[in-house]
Amino acid sequence: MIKKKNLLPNSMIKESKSVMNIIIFVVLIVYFLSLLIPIIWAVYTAFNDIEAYYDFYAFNGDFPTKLVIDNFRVAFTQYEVQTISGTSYNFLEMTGISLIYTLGCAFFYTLTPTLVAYAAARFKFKFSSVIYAFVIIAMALPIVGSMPSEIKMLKQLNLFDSFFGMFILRMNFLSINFLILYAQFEMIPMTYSEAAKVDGASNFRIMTQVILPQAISTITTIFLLSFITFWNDYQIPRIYLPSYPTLAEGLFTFSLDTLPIVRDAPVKLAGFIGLTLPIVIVFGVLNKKLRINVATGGIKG
Amino acid sequence: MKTANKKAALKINGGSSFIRNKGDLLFYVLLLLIPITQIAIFYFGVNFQNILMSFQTYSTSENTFYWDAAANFNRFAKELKDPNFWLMIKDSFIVWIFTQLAGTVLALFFSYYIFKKRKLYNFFKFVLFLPSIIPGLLLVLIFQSFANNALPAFLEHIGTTLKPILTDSKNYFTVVTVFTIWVGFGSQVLVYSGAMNQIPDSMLEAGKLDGASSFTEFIQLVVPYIMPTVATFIIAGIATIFTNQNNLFSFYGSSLPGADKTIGYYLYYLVDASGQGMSNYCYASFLGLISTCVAAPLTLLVRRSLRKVGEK
Repeated sequence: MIKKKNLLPNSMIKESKSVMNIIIFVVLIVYFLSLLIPIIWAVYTAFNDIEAYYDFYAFNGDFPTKLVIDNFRVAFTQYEVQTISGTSYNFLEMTGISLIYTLGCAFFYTLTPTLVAYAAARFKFKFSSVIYAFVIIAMALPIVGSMPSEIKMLKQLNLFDSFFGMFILRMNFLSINFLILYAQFEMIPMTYSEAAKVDGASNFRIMTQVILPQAISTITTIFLLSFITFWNDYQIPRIYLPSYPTLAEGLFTFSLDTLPIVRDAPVKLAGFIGLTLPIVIVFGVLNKKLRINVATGGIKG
Repeated sequence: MKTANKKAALKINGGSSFIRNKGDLLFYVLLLLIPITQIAIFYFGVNFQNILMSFQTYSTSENTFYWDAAANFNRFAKELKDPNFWLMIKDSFIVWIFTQLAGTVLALFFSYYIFKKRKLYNFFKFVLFLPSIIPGLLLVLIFQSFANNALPAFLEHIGTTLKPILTDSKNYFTVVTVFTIWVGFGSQVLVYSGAMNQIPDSMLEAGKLDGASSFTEFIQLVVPYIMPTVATFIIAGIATIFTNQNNLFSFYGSSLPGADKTIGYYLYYLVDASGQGMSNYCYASFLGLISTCVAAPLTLLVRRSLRKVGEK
């Protein structure tokens, strides 16, 4: 079979130099620079000496060249967030809260659609079709503004302002994750389960040792993307977990704060870079696993 | 005979796996028990309660909800007379149109560039996805500090002046909307470029043999082919008229520099309103119900229209 690239090499070269491609290339370069310049400025500013920073922006001095790590020390050790009950949390404590919140929420937000999609795709029961249809309908019909009712419900069930309550709230399968996982599980031939069953494997063993491992890259991707979303979200914890400020929530307060120790941009930027580091590390480690694999399955031979 | 019928009833679509015995049924029930209970409480229960709350009000002194069907309706009627309310509606639609139009058009062009594997396509794919990884708050703070401090200072050092654009009551909304579009390409580009990869090679080669330019190929072959994917984004985007906060809360918290805001921001503000407890909850539910009554039929209408266009 002749590859397309070999078939039309000249037209490909001509095409890649078309006006449209050049314009898109230029726009993308501008886009890249519009991201890069502020990010470099922010990282550089986080290391600026406060006095030199103010001198430059007040036109009393040259471009700040003296770099210090003091801003990180101030952000990580001196800034505290006080909850309504009066308890104060420092950067380290907020990081701990963030880790519990994010890991728990991402875990349940991934586990629930995995289990429901597995049941619906692998057990062809009538109710499985009902579940599938319901997810489609629920996703197609937008419901706006149910947050007050959700909070009231959590309060009625004594689950408000608790990690456990947040985890229960995240045991939700009405999302695109269900559809992705459903497609994945349906693609794996039933003969795998049948063969394992003939060998005496239980349903639980078939699920955990035969089918789930084949969908592990999709599950990992969903977990990773959920982790990033929950780690960065400050609005939900701000309202649902008022006694447990997460790092993102703390830094939101930090960004609006005018207290002398944190009002300086270098200190704020240093604090925010601290928020980003875990995400960069997680993303860097698991980057290659970021794959929604819907082409898995098939028995060879 | 009865057992055979039961088995036949359980087996659907000719699938080779079905509920064979009580063990299978028990396992199936165990898998679904907690998720279905969760949906019963936090989807059906919450939404039903949301309807009830729309006809209630909250007494701060007694710390209780009581029936008052007129309270939220009267507050809403009063707000309808306020020009700022209509400004909010207008702003919400403006944000929606701009994010849908500019965002989708740019995302399509960028996706095409990546799909055709042009110069540095992998690098640009990463760059476009980058704002989805970096915390939105960090991007807001960087943009805020850069626009308020660095840019005016640098320009002044070279003899030009620039007013702080984010604190100006007339321009802040436009600037924040541009920011929202600027950081919002990631998921669309990933999905669109993925959908473009499904286009058969023969189709593109036929276009090339007919002498189609890149632009013609993009407009006449690629875009129509991935239209169902684009339509899905457009349909899903309708609800954002009522939920998109346009990053206003991240930029300003509850202190906006002017009257421009979106419905999404207002709904969150009503619930968040620090120190006011649950006093705004019922009204927020009422507004949510009104929004749903507009969003749900609008979504179905657009879905139907797009399907008709697709059929043609």
